[in-house]
Amino acid sequence: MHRALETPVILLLIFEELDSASSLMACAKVCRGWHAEAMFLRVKSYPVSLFNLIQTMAPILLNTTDGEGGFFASLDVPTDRRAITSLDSSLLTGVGANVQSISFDLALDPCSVMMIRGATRSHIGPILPRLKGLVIRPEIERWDLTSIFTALDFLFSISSPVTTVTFADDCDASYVKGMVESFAMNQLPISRLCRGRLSDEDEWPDDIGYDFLWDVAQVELLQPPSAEEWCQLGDCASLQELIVREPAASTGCYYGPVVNFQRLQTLQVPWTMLALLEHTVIPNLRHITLTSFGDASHEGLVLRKGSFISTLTNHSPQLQEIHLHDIFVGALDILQPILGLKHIKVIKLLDVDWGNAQDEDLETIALSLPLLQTFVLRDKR
Amino acid sequence: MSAAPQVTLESSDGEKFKVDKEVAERSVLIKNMIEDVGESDNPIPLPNVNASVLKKVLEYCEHHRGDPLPAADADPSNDDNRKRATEISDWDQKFIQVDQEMLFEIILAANYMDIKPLLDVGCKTVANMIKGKTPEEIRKLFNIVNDFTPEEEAQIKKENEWAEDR
Repeated sequence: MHRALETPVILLLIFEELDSASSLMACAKVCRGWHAEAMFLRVKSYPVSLFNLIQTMAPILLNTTDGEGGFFASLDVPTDRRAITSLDSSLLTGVGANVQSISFDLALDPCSVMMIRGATRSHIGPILPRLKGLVIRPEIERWDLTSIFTALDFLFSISSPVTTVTFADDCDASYVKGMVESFAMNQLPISRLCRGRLSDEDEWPDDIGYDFLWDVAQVELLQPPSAEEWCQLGDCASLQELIVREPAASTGCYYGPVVNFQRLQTLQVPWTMLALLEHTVIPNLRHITLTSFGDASHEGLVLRKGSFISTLTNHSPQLQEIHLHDIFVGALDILQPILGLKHIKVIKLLDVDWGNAQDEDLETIALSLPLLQTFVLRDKR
Repeated sequence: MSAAPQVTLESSDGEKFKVDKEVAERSVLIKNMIEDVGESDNPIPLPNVNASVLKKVLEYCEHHRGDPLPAADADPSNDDNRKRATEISDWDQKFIQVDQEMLFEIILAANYMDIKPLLDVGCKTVANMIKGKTPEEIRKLFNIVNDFTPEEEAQIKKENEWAEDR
């Protein structure tokens, strides 16, 4: 083995470039010298399943049955749970120091949480002091909110600043609302909310809306919003960053009123939302990322995109950064409206389909922006 | 027009390299040494870097001589800073296509000479070699001996139960 691979600082830099928990776990099993660094990054960078953690410490077989009497009645009482040893406790408190995000699961019952807390009674302070994020799966809806806060309180000493809550796919809208409101009422305002996909036939219900996001500054949606949902998001006074991850199946049409995002500063959306974007005003926008150009690229739409960029730069005088993903060089004419603008400081063109274009096409854009500080181009791989 | 100021660097095996000061100062180590000691005709010794590696490192510095220097106070936990650091240009990808021994020596030299962009390129390249491989494949790739005792392997197996993806 080369001595570089025995140098902790180098190992950490290499491991930081790995993009999955499984790669880090593979590294942790390679040799003694790699184990500590890889495990440190594993628990620091990726969510840890609380169910896995507790199963490891006190394995049980849970047999769930739907019956009357709520969540507690639906679980068979675990009888084959072994006692928690001092080794379990030291493992939990040792790794717990670096855990930043955990996921809740159905099979984690509140009794387990209390049992763990009892076994780590001598531990001073929260078990997971760096916890920032929770991942909520739809099955957890069978937990009542009081049980969740009991668990949080026992495990993490609730003063721990949980700021990001991720609701996995298919979480019920009313449950999402209830959770966010409960966090706020418990003086634990969430600043970032990530929402998974809704069920195939579902849309975000009008009667739920997004009024409850009064403290949430960042919202991430895996699935594009409907027109109604977009309008509701526009009403969120605290929203500063909005990310829509996946493109819609079609561009659709929108004939409703203009949507005004008053405080929004950062927006990432797919081009398939163009119809909505054309009727959206974002006066304080500083950074926009537009993705999935290839999903909406016929000639008429390319013209509309150029027109949208023109309107956007007129209505958003603070716009400084434009990122375009998955674009082909021939379509960069849509950037014509920004040429000469002094407030554009960063342009990033990522996953570019180079086609037959020449370097000069891009140089023209870069040289036409007098105060441009960063120009990044990354080819499609 | 006067010629650009130059400095001389001396590798661990005694070879001397005369380069533009601007190129040498891509290395924060050298930049700080020049600031501390002042400009001098004496060669700057680099006892941890041999001539073949130093030549390669200077090739990188020459190509990137005009690039903006990374901010010393850039927060590495900032996602955007991290992403910027991990984007590898075509030239860098070709530059780093070297044998494993040279790759690791470049990484060590970049770490010692404090050339962060080069260190990032090297570490990203090694990470790409690791991705998707099993522990045994990684050991074979880098000639690493499995030095875990059976007891340690049992302990790791236990840790893995909670840390594996679900």
